[in-house]
Amino acid sequence: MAKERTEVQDIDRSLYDFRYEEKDSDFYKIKEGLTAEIVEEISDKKNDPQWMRDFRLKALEVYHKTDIPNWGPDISDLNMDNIVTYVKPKTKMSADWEEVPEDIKNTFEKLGIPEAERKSLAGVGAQYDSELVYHNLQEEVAAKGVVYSDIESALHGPYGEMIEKHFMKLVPPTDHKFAALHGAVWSGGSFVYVPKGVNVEIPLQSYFRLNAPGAGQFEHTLIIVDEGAELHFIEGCSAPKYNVANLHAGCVELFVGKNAKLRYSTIENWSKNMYNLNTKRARVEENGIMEWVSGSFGSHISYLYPMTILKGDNARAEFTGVTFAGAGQNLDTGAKMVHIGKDTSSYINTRSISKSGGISTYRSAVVIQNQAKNAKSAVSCQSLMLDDQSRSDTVPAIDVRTNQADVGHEAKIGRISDEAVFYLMSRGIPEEEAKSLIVSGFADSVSKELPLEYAVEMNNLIRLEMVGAIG
Amino acid sequence: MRTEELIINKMPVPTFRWLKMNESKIKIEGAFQSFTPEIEEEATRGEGDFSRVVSGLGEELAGLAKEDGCESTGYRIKKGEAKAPMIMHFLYESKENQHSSFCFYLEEGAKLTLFLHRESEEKAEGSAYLQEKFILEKNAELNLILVSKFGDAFQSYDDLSLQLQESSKVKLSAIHLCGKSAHIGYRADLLGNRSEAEMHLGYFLEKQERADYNLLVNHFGKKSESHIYCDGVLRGEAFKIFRGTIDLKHGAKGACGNEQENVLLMDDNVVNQTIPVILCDEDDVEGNHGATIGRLDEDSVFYMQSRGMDLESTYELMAEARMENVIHSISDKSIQAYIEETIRGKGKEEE
Repeated sequence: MAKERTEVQDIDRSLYDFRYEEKDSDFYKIKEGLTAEIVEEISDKKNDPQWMRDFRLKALEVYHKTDIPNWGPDISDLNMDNIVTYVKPKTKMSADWEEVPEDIKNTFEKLGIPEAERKSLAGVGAQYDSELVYHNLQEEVAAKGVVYSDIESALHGPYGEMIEKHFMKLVPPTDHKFAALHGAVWSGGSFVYVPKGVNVEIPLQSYFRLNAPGAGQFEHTLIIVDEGAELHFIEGCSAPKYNVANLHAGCVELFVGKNAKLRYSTIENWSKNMYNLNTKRARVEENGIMEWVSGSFGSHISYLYPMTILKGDNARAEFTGVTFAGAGQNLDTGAKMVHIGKDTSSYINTRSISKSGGISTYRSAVVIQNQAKNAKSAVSCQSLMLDDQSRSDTVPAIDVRTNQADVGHEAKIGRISDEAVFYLMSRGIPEEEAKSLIVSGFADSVSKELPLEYAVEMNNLIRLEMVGAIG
Repeated sequence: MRTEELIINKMPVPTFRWLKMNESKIKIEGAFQSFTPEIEEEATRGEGDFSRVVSGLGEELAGLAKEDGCESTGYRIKKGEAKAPMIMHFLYESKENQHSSFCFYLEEGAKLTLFLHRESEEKAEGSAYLQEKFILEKNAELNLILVSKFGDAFQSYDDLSLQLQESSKVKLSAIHLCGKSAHIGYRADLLGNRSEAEMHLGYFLEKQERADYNLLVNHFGKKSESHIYCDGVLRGEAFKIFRGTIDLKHGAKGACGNEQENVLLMDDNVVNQTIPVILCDEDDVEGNHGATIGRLDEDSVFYMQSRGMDLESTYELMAEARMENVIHSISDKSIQAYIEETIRGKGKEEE
């Protein structure tokens, strides 16, 4: 008798797929494609300082010289000639939601951003297509010397030099083709500076909404957490679905100072026409702590592997991630840890779920350099297959160059265990409830790391409906 | 003289290019020439169609040897034949591109124990390429033992590919004491339902020795099983890369693939690269991988020291134990004893 499978519903995307009808006259759009003229036009629009103008053009040269990756999901359908790299809503950035145009404000209202700001955030940045439309930081947090602004304003203000010193130094344009693309056409994003010894107790959040069809979003997030400081930063992203390809090639650079701590949480829920080719990297100094929490639910294709460089002695990093790949999705996600300092440690813990023909790949790299004496690293990746139409791969790489290191790795791929279902049933739990518990519990180690309201959102995203029985 | 630059040991699925782990590049200078080993208890020669048995190292290298006119010797083993282990002894001298190729066709229910002993003279310079192909029909069983021990300046290529039909089984025990460099490509296609591959691999590398492994097990058959155990020791400035892939194909319902690698790093200038891949295109399967890489764990060290053993002796003992794991997987006691004798003293000779 055939086994009837556990059914897991698709993620309910109605919240993210809605959009208001927009007129072209509400936006300034640069023409499609990628040329030096287009890059210069972006520089003009953004009034870039000369070093940034030069930087963009050099990055464009690198882009043209660099080939696309020969590994990972196929992105040959992504045609840059059809992508609009800059779309600016005809509004200025405001620190008051009332000054934000009605339809844009309503979009963020539906996504719950103003409400979250009132309830549980110390500051919010909201980006609509290529530019921020709202940015605000609580006065008491600003009074501690914390800077949280859009990156363009900071570039022209007193932190301009600091940005020049750090901008694309962790992720140089030569890193890969889409880092070069980002360097050429970046727009929007946030700059955060937390001064020495300051603990920002309530999280900051940036939310990126890509609303224009056929557009790209290239926001740059630069966070510097100075010595002994602490921050939790949350990033959210979504877009409505179109029939044409959209592209997200953002870049996140995080500098974690001596004895500092940064937690960076992401709920990524791009639409299923999105190519998400994002690059995130952190450098951690002595005794610093970097924590990544990542939920990848959306996009058509994702390449996402946040990298942590443990440069200082005794630096630590953790990556906790969940990936849910449904129909039409090919999500290639994971993490990279590079140990340089002595007594450094890293831990990667991921869960992947594949269903309805979705492809989920866990890909990682743990590198322990010769000078990283007494480094420790542990990796645990588990994948759950919910039907035989889907696919799940794990491709973890480990490179150890000293004997004074301890590295452990474990990976497991399978479906819901019949034994586990039987065990729970033997203790009086009905079969459907038992299976529901197992699937929920599978992602629990990740969801419990999220702030409460996001954990609830994630649980809503993975809404389960159990039917049938094991035959 | 012909010089060919080739790519071998290519991963089925590549990953980040900056790691430089996706494949290996080699240079072959000059033509391959046939090398004939000494053979004891030779099985019956015979033919079979091996055209669909894909090389473990890569078809490019295999094709080059064929171009040079190197022939393969075929064996056909019937049920009830070949009761005593067949032993092939390869003692290489200083010569480049020595090549041997053998194809074994195990008919339904046939059993074969094959012991391949490859070595070179201690001061020998040169290279040797061994290619072995196996087809196991229904219920056939192959017990394959391989030991290689080469001189410091010797390079070797070890190419093994297997096709397993219904309920057939292969048990492989391989120990590599590598010499200058060893490229090892093993591939098993578990075509038949309930076919099984059990592989025990061990290596002990020292000085500037390099080992380049690429293992691939393709699960096509329902309830097929694979178990890969790899135990290794790295000393001096040794380098090792281990690529191990379990590919659970669509339709291989009930299949199970397990892989465990343990690497003991004994000196500070060793390099260990590991990339254990599980590819899964079927839900009713199980794929597991585990790896431990590094020095001895503190509990083991404390236990041994509390019994009066110093740290250096503890490491020596544990390094030997890694090889013992592989030796004990060999069921033939006489071969076990022979191998223990052959590899004894590795790591101590220069002290």
